[in-house]
Amino acid sequence: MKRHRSCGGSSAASTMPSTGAFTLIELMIAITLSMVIVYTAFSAFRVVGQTVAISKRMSLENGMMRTGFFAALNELDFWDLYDDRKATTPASNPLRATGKPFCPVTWDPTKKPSDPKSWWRGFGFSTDVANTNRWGNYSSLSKAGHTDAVRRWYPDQIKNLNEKMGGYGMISYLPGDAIYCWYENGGTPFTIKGAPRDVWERTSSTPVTVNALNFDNGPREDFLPSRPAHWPGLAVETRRYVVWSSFIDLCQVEVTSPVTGEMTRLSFWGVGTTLRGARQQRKLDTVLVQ
Amino acid sequence: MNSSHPGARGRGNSRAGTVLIVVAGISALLLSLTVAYLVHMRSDMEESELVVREAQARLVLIAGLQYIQEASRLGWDRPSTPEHEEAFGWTDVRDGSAGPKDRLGNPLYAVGSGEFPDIGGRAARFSLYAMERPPYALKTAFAYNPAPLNPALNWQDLVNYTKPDPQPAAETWEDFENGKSTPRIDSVGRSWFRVYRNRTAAATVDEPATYEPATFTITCGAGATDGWQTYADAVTAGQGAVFNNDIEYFKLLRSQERILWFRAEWTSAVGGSGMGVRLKNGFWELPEINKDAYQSVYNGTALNGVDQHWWVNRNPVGSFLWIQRLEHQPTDW
Repeated sequence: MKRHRSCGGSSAASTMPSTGAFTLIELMIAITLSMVIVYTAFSAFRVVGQTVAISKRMSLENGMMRTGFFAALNELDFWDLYDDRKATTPASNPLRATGKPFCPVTWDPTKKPSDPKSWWRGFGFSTDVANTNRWGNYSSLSKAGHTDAVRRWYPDQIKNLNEKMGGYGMISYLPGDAIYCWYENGGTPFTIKGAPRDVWERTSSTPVTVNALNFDNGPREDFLPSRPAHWPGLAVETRRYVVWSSFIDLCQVEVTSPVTGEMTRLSFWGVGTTLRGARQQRKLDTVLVQ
Repeated sequence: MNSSHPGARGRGNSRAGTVLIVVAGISALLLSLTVAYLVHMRSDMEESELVVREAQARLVLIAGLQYIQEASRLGWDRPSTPEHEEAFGWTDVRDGSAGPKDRLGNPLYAVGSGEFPDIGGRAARFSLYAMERPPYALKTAFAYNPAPLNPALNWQDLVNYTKPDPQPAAETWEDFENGKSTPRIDSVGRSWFRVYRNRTAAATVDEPATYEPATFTITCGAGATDGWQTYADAVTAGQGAVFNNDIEYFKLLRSQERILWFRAEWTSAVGGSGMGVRLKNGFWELPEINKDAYQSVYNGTALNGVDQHWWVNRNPVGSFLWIQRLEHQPTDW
């Protein structure tokens, strides 16, 4: 087919404005190509949209992981999951009860290895009175409430810390070479408390934890617990325990994807505030130097 | 388009204008999307940078603690004396006095000088970086003596160390011994720490009481101020040029830093040593160092033949009684 074209000649028809149009085939080809282009463009935009959405979601999840990381480090230093510094009621902090690690205590922190008052005196190979007594009455050397201040300092100290703060508190407050045993009045002719073992044996195999939880559980904070279902989840957990002489402070940050249900967990251990440091932050210690 | 025709020119101009508007609109749309995306990415990156700084500052805490531990015993050698002096702890284990002291009980630092480790003296500053090659560095290559892949060889030829392993990362002994202390450029300006030795003091608002001369304030920094407390300190030490002799530049670097303050008390006591005694054939004796634990349960029988000994901790540099993060900047650091 021929298109009518303006020839610019001398005829009358040629002086009229061109009224050119597309042929049917041209239109069909153009429409087909346009549809392909539109479809491709639509697909491209859709892919771009999905990519941006995924990017935003990943960015959000990374942001939440960062938030959780900061929260975990903060917890490492301030112990608020165990004992909330901002709590207004005692019921909010059950670990301040007697026998728990945040129980207020009066004690003497001036222990020096060179000071005889801080030496442990006892029989190191038995946990019962009969066998200890076989080799002599060691309680006369040292026991809680002994008349000699030098001989009562250590047993009084360990007894006090153990009864007020429990095992984790006692281990935290006493130096690394402490022996967790003391004698006291009562029984025939005295009573042995604890076992003549140091931290290595005291914590071997069975970890000593801060609270009643097992070592593989810790206080956990779920950020945004009432969030909408399409929001990602974020939880932070810390586990503190002593095992084989080592103080373990393990942090876990968990981010849950609302789309796939996939959970990303970041686990790490760190060095931060110890129990005594956390108690000093809360001013739970009263010092009485003897 | 026939430009000589007024109507056609008008239509052509309007089409051109339309195309221009459409193209400009699409371009603006794409540009705004791109800018928004880039800003978003940059924002993410900046937030990640905060994480890196926080982690760096905490790593520095470990470096500070380890310095205190090691310096309780080592690092006090006086080159002027033939003896390689070692100390007996920040609190001397022999008499409880303030250390570090030598074996004769003489202080290994200038008491009353006002300089670290004088109690209450100026804090020690540690700028952290990686050396190009530390002293006594070894090559990281492995398998200098790979086992021959010939099973017919006898075992002496299979286990044949014909080359030294490991090998030094320097060509001469002098280079090997001295290393190359030039900082690696990518490790400069990242972190530092300061150690201040506390006076005995009662507790204040945010600071715990200190009773022993082994209590330290550790300032952990992730940033590029090199650990100078103030710009004036840097200038006094002749280091103003590091900051272009510009206090505003120093302030900018300080504002970008992450700084954490901790307080910790060192003790000579270490855990993990068992009872630290050995009972063999009825006699008490000191245990062998780093001996694996062996223990037969005592049951009240005669001690002949009973052998009880425990693994003895190899840590000769003490441990920490407590560590406390300070919520606010302390008075002295």
